[in-house]
Amino acid sequence: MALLTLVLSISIYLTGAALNYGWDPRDITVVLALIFLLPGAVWTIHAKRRLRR
Amino acid sequence: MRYLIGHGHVSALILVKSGWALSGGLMVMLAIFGEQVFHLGGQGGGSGILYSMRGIGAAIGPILAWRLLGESDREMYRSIGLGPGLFCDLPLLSGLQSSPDFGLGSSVRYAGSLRRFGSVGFQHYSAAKGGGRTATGAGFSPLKWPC
Repeated sequence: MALLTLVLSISIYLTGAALNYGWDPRDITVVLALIFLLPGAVWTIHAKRRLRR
Repeated sequence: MRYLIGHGHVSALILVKSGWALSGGLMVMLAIFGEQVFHLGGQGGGSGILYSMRGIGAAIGPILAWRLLGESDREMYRSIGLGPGLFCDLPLLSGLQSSPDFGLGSSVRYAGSLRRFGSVGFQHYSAAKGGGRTATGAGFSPLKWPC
């Protein structure tokens, strides 16, 4: 829970900073959506390895 | 920490949930999109609709996951990886949409939330395999399959 909250707060802070910096909200959303793929991809690789065993 | 190092599958479950928080900024973007990007006429209504659609996605997601993937441990394990993939393309499409019109499409994309798709697998699996420690560690009550 601590790690989740910490990562969440960093993500929200950086999003706010990017908005203040003048980034287009659409661009930020696209970047966030792509970042979201990372944990899914890592988990999929992990799951494949684990299920193969 | 020693427990996590000794139990790889438990640490993987905790890390994948924290990984989802990497895109926590999307919560901020719901309000920004509702206010600035999609024009609905009044102020604030857009973000309300987006948040509502997110709630609908959270309600429908687990049922869809159950119907489409089944409820064996193996399928649940897979669904955890599928969740981010499904969730990602919805805000991605909204970000790429050039029209400022709100429209049904925009809201449905955020319903995106089929977001609970993977979460249900996570909660079920962590409760079943990881025991109380994972559930507590990840901040979840060990919810069982909803149906």
